Amino acid sequence: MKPNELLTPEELKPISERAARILDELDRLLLGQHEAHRLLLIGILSRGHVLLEGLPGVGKTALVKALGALLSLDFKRIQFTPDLLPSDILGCNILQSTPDGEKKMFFQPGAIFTNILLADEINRASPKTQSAMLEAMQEHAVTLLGETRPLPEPFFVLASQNPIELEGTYPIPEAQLDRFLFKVAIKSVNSDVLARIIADRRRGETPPVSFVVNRTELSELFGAMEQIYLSAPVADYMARLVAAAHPGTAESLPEITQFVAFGASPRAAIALSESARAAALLAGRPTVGFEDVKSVAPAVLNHRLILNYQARLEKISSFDLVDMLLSKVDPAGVELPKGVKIFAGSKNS
Amino acid sequence: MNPRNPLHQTIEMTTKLRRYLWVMLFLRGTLFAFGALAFVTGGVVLGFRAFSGIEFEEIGMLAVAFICFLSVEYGIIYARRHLPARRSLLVWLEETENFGGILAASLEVDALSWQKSIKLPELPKIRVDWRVCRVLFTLGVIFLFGVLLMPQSRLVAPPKLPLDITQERAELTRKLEILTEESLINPDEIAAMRADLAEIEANNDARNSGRTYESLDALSRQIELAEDNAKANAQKQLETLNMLSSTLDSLSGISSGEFSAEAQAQMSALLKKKAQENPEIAKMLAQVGDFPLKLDSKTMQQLADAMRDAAKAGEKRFAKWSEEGSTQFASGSIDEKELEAWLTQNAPDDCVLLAIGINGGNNRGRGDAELNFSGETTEFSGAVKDIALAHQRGPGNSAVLRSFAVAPTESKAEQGEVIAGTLRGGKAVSEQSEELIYPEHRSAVKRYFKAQKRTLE
Repeated sequence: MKPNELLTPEELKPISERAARILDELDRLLLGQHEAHRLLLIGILSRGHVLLEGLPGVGKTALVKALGALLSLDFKRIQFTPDLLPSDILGCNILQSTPDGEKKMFFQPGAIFTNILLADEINRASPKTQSAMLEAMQEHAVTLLGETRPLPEPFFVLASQNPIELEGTYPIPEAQLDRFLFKVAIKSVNSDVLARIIADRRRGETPPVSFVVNRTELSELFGAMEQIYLSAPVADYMARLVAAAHPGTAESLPEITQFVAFGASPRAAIALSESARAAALLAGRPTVGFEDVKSVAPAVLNHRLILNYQARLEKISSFDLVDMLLSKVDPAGVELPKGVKIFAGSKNS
Repeated sequence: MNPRNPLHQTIEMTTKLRRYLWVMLFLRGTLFAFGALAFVTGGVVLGFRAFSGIEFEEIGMLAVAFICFLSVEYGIIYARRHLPARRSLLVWLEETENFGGILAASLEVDALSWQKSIKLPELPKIRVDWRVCRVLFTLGVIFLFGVLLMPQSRLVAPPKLPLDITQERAELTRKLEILTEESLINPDEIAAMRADLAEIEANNDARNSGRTYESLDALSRQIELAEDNAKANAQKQLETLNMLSSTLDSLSGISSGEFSAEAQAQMSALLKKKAQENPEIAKMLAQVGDFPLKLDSKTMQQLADAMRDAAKAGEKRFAKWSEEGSTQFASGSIDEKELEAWLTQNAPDDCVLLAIGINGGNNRGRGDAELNFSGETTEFSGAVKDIALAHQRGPGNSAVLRSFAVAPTESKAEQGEVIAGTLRGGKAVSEQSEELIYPEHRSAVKRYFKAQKRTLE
């Protein structure tokens, strides 16, 4: 539901400053990964799950641990292995004796009953174990033996996976991939950053957090998210963007039809709107702009476009296709005849 | 809304942008429509002028006015159709200037509390690709005004001026009919000749009289050749018939005992051979019996009589055909005595008559064709003069003398080199056509022979 009026600058300023402070703290804790930090924070503000993909040693686990410490939320980590079972994650009923000597089945909650779950190297677990998290990720609840148990709020799954060493791994099923708000690529840092890490970080340990965001402050951030205004033209742009990502439809682009087997789901459109709101909040604006949509669209859409064999043969990545979507789908939808173009004039102060 | 509100100013900017865009779209549509309509109208006017032959300046002006009106109408419709809504332009401005959704949201909610953070951009620029419109407009205008201003004489082709070749056509047709009736030559050849004659008639034009007469000459010679061949064949067949009739007549007097079976067989074989060459003989022999023929005195006498009768009939027919089918065209449409008298009187000693044109008749030839000289030579700088001679059959048959009078020169040798044209033309000229040396080539020929002479010396 849309708010009736915009947040005033006075209302928005402290909240956006708080979000910006969290981002600054993350940048301080882990060097050279500003964009990944921004996207991770947007993911948290959007209450979405984030899949971090990167080579070993780039700081995926450290990032999640730093975030957990910063947000003062319950944090648990599961190292996914091939022999990991669903009960290891979700929990199970154990027969125990009561003080009066009676034997009863007691539920032993798994590691998933937490606020932030770090699913480290998620693609090393079998599909059965990976699928155990489907309900938890979408419904924020776990159903065991017919009994549904809600997970603590807020609940985030921050998973990491390694794009190499594919032997003995199981690719994450598309259904589970779709449940991740973002797939963030953690890239290697440059030599300047490396020099700073070597100089400032003894054994690579991250410094302690300088401040902690408590639950009330976090709730205020989530509350402000509800007040960020999404106008109809921007919503229309997002809808056209997602619709254009479906191959073979009237709205799809020729390149999409050529290289994409399956397009983004409606969940992608929802994820896009939520993350765009968070981006606007982080930028200190009460309204979602086109630039917010463009800034989060690659992270939202890249893992939702299932490419076909032709794309693999021609070495076209989903990021290339998302860039193409952003360049070809006109945000304003102004339809001018061929050969007529409007160019923006320079800004006056 | 407060007029000083930047949001309001932005909306005003989109209004300005829309006006600017409307003007551009209107011009584009108008130019495009004018170019296209100019082509269409120009085509219609061109067709009308070419077929009706009417030159109409007023209608041309009306057409231009009509095109202007329609183009403006189209321009308005085009601009209205493609002009984006104000809301769309505001959203476009929002997107290009990165207003962060404030402008877009201001269309739906009150965004006044954020007005201070809005920075107004300059009026956007519109870039229009004028290439197609410009080319179409320019070409259309050039075409239309070219059509309107073009003189009528260039549009309508001059009427065809056929030469009077009735006489020649009638003569050739008669000969072809004779050849057809007498079945003297292959029907396909006759059909081809008839087609040639029809083509000559179709292409008959006084402006290219030389070609017409040459074609008539060629066809005439073709028919003559066919006729000569046919005559030769007919003569040969008559001789065969006479020879066979006299032989058979002689043999019929011999008693059957003396005319051995072997001789009969030889005679039968000879007759069979002749029958294969001549269908008429084959017909006669078929009445007597099948091969080998049983040649007794009676049969041979019967055959001899039949062949003699056939030979006589053939001779009569041949004589009649020779009388009717002469390939020589009637000459003498020119009164030669009158011409000689005229020449004696009018042609001075030093003047040279190069060509004579005779009006009508196939006895005209290449000499009557137009003489188109590419330039003047010292030998050929005389004046042209056409003089019609009176004729007893009327003015239509009068001869026209085209004389080129050349001023006398001191060198007698040079005078001698100028070749006089034939007085009769026709066949003689066509046969000498390869020997004709035009005046402009004469000096080259002279140089060639002089060089050869030096080499020989």
